[in-house]
Amino acid sequence: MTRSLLSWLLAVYALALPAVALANDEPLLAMADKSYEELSLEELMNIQVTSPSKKPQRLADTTSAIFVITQDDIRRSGATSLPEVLRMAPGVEVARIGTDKWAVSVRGFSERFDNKLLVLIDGRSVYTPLFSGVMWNMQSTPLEDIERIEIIRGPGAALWGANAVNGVINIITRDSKDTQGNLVDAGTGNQERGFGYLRHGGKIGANTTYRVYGQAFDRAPSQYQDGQQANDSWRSQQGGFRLDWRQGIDQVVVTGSALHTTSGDLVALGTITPPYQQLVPNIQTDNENNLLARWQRKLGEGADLALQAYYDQSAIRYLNGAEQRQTMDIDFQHHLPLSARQDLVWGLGLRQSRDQIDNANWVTLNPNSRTTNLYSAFFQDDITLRPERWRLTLGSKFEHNDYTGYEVEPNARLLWTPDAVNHFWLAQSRAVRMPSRIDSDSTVNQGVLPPLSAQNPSPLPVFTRFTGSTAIQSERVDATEFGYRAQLSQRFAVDVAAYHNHYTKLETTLPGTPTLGFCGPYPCYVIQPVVAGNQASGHSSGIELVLDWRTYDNWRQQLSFSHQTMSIDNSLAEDIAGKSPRNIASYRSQLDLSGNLQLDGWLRYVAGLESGGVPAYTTLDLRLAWKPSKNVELSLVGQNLLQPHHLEFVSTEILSTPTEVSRSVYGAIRWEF
Amino acid sequence: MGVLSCRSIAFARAFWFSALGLLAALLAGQNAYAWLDVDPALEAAFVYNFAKFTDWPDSMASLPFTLCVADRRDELFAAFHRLEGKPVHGRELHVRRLNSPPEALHCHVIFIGDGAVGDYQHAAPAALTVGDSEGFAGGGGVIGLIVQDNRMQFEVNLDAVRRANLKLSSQMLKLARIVK
Repeated sequence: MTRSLLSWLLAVYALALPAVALANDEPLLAMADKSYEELSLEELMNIQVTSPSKKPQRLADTTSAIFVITQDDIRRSGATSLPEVLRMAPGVEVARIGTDKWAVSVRGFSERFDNKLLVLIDGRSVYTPLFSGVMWNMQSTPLEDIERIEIIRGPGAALWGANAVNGVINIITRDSKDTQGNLVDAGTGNQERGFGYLRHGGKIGANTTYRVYGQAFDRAPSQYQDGQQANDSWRSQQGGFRLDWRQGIDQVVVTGSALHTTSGDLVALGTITPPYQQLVPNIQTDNENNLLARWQRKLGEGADLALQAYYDQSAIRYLNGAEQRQTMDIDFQHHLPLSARQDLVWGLGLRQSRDQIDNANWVTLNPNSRTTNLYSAFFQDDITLRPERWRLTLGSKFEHNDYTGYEVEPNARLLWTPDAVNHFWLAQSRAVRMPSRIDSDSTVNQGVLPPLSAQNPSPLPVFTRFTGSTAIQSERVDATEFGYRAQLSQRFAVDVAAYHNHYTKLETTLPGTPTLGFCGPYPCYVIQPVVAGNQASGHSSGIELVLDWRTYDNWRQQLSFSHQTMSIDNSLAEDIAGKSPRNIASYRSQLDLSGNLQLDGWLRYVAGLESGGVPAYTTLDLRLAWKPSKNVELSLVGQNLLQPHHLEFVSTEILSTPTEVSRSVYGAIRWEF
Repeated sequence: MGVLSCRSIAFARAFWFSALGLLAALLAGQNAYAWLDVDPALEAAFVYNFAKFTDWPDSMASLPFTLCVADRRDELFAAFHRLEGKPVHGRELHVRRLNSPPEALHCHVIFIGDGAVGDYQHAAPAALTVGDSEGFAGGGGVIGLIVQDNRMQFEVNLDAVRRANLKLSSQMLKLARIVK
């Protein structure tokens, strides 16, 4: 079956789905005035009650483009890493660029270290202030322990903070009261050479529950485009715990984990002598420990209070450079209904991050040790203009950072619910992306232009060197978004979001004054600095659609589709638009067969990328799971089945040799006792 | 491990203390009940279903079917009040607001948000007690409303069911989380 035929079929299916789904189902529109009392207990128990806007609210009333991935979605996807799970969400671009490397972004700007996405685990921010990106090889939170993942597309800065420019991924782990008893999950396959997860959950007295876990895995290296094995086998060991204490109006959560991981790649470094490029195998080792505590108290009449603090320590070794970092964060939040029609959330926060960096020959930071402080305050006011019909939300975040001083990120959102079924929302927001250490304080050797070549007619090799600037400013986005959400019948729901983003002060580089480098008394190379600045601006717009259909009690289908276009007006900016696919589609089917069998399928299509000439691809994952008894589950998962291997992305941030994603199979056993 | 500089420690301390000060100010004179924060109409609908699928002893058959509400939340009482007159066990449902436990004498269902469950159960031993405060079912109430996995669920305390001489339908018990 050809690729284009498959995509046509998917498109036709998507268009036909609503008609077919509603044909046999009583549309909720006709039951618009049906109140809760007329629903059965099962129906009542299916209604979603909370949303991410920092206080309980019906999910349908959220004035953002939000997609929620539940623990059940995670288990039935067969995915073994967090970035892979994110592929099922619309608007999220995930490209695997190695066994331990991914380019994950929301609504464009896809790259290995995308800096316009905020990722939080239980409220702890996991992007590094070194380059404002996420090191996905260090995010090995066991998928078993995740309660849900909330993906909020669009600027979430007002509530979540700097760097939530294009989206927020909020990962929430399960309460320890829901993970009692013992669990073993282990398996092996051709890519997943071996993985094991062991968890014990128990109680201490009447008010406290806890869990402790250990996880380890060993993953095979991927392969280069020429078929040779890559250098990126990935080993990881992680241990951690969570403790939940409750008494009356108080609730305390404590979590912690310790991680040790090693992986590798092959990096192209420039050299003075021919062939002016050397492929250096690199083994990267990372350690990371964190401890988080959060205290929440419920006050009367719907008000509540929360105070959270965490400490995060990490040590990274990469290509004879190293970074040690300690981060401390305190956050306070107060939610109070001001009146019958106004509901306010406000908060204060402080984050301090200190680093010590060992400079290497290809990257230097000056100063090589720095402590940065980020102060923030926010408020959000929900105003009911007309009960059950119109609601206006006004909010803003105020921040002060050590690079650019004060930043204000306001937003306004409007919700219209003409009846119980249809929800329309509109939002206008601003968000900024703070500079990172690399933007401000670094020099990074990017590559060498060989002498007497088209780009470099001079007789000396030219090293291009990215040079940070302390005059760097924050990148900014002003976004206009619109969405529609409807539970069209008991079994069928639709969610559409459209957006237009206007970006200004996007980071660019301008050639600076070249300097001559000497080998002894003779000039032997040229250093061409490219200095960081903010000369670019641009636009992007797109539309995202999710159709969710519980066709029968035992068969659920979900189709998500995203389309985006982007134009950046400055040719000096990196090839940003060419790195994001124009269209992405994901189709998932979850079928409960009789005899305790589950058959799940996941078909994905990603359009081609101009940057790197990456062709479009379609791929399929299949999962078969069997429960021979109540406590045991055996599963067999095949991933990326449609081709023996395919390329997903070519990264230009660090010149690692591109690798491909291979077809893989693994088997696993899950035993609760 | 790096050591935080004196200045940064001072900043952190200042922030911590002001946050705590704010907290203290806010907490003074606040009410202390850990209720659920969901749509009251949803809670009322759950309680209506509990009433429909529970059987009371014959001694309660002659009394008008009453749902009593011992809760200070006006919005919640308004949601229960909208159930007035609805059919339950072949009769009409009546909704009453309680100010103290002794008033609960002839209630079939008591929704308890304020006050001790034990006091109400003492006054009306055959009543179906429902609540949404933290640990309601574990603490002796018959049914506790909880939120789990982003959805509303309910916990049933079988000991309390037995003591009140109630019979919950098997369909309802299948959907419940059994606490005792």
